[in-house]
Amino acid sequence: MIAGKLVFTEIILKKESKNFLLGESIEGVIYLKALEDVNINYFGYSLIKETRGKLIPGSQAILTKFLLINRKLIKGQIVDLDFKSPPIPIESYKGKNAESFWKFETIIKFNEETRQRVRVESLKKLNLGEYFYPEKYANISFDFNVVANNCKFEISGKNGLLKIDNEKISSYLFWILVAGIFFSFGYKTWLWVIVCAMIGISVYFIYISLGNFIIGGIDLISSKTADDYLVCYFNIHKNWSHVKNITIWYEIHEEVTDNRGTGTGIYNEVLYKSKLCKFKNITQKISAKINLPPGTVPGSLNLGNAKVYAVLKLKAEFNNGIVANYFTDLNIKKSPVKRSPYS
Amino acid sequence: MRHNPFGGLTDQELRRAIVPNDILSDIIKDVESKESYMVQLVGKKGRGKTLHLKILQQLFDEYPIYLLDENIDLKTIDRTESKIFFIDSIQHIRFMKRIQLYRRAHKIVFTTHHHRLHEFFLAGTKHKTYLMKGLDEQVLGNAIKKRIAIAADINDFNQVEINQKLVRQLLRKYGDDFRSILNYLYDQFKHAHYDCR
Repeated sequence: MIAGKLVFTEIILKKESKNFLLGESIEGVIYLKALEDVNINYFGYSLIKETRGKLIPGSQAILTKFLLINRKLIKGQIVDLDFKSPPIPIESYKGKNAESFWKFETIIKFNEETRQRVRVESLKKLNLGEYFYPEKYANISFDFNVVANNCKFEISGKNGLLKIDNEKISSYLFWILVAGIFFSFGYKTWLWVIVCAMIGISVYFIYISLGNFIIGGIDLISSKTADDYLVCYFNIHKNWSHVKNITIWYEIHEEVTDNRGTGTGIYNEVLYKSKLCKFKNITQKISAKINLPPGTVPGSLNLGNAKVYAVLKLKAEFNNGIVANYFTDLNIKKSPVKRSPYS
Repeated sequence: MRHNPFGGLTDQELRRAIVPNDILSDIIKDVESKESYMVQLVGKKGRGKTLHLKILQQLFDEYPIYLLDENIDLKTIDRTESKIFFIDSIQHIRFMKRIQLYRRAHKIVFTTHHHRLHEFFLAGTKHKTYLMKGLDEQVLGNAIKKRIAIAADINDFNQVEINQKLVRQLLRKYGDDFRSILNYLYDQFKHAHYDCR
């Protein structure tokens, strides 16, 4: 692929495509040809996961394997090195504000005598990059994708009381305050701002707690993955007959923390929203069966400042028009299906 | 292209991405100067303060850089024996601690959203201020070309051709907010080249 000064390295993969399945190994052979006499401390390869996007990029060597240690190669000598990596544990990821992909990179380190030889040559050519890093031209790499076609999801939540989602109510509160400030111009402004803020905060607390106060809260009793579904059981504490209908779904979010500059920004986007599971004629116990995501949706990701996580959401509408929104965090994991040796 | 050219860059890529400018050369002279004073890079979000600071630290790598956030551990700064250092986001250090630092250090080059003139007055230190603002068509055009060249592994960024009309439109829409321009281009690139690799 790229000719180094002292060695020529070439990677031939067993399969032509650079798309691998989650849990698949990368197999092939590396040809290492000595263009000069060369002493090698070690030679091997690394599997590196790179994260990029609206964030400070990250690079993490997930695995490093040595194929040669302390070897001398004579000019013209070719070494064939068969390799088979362990199964690739994490899929590549192409999100809305972040992406991560895999890199296969050879790693070589010459011994001190060979390094010194390279340094002398590099000084003659005023190549300072090579002077400080004599292996500069010896390593090669290629990018590859890991896709998850043959996989299974495992989703589960922590049992217990669902939390109240006040995201929307916070925005109502904000508009009440804005309106208060706007209409108070021409009067004793500072007084009106305080009054409106107090009214807004009171309305906020009453509103978010009213629906929950009526039913006394909702518990997630159990959640598990069965076949192609996420199955959840809920328990309403009291007064379930006051509830007109309930909608349950889950969302997979991407959260990217952008700390590139002096300030920090957070980009949160929904990558996947499941089908809605709707209930009427509400009883105390509810069981919801929701489809698992398609294979193209990432199971989880936590690399540097990019995070993929799942949230279970529940919306309860009451007979008197009040709406209560609940949520709880979900654990989501995607793993390759192990193939039977007889299949 | 290996990746979206308008996302974050590694430290190695930053060196290739910066468009040389007068402010950078002036701050280099400040760091080299034997005189003791504080150097503040003041500007709104996305104006290149951190970028300039990181480049400076790469040029003067004998001096440490502290990229601060909410989880700051001041012990690392306290322990440094260097009299010159770089601080990104100095607002994360408490007021009194900042005054102490100005007094203790020979020179600090730091980024901030707001002027720290009153703090220099209290600390009794000399200072120099660079306002990070303004972006012209040529600089923005070159910055975009350089990012594309890095992602496409092209050595000479002049080989990249871009539509100057688009550059003017970006300047009209976002002004000198380079971060917002990059975020806009990131989203556009993502939609246009979703399967670029």
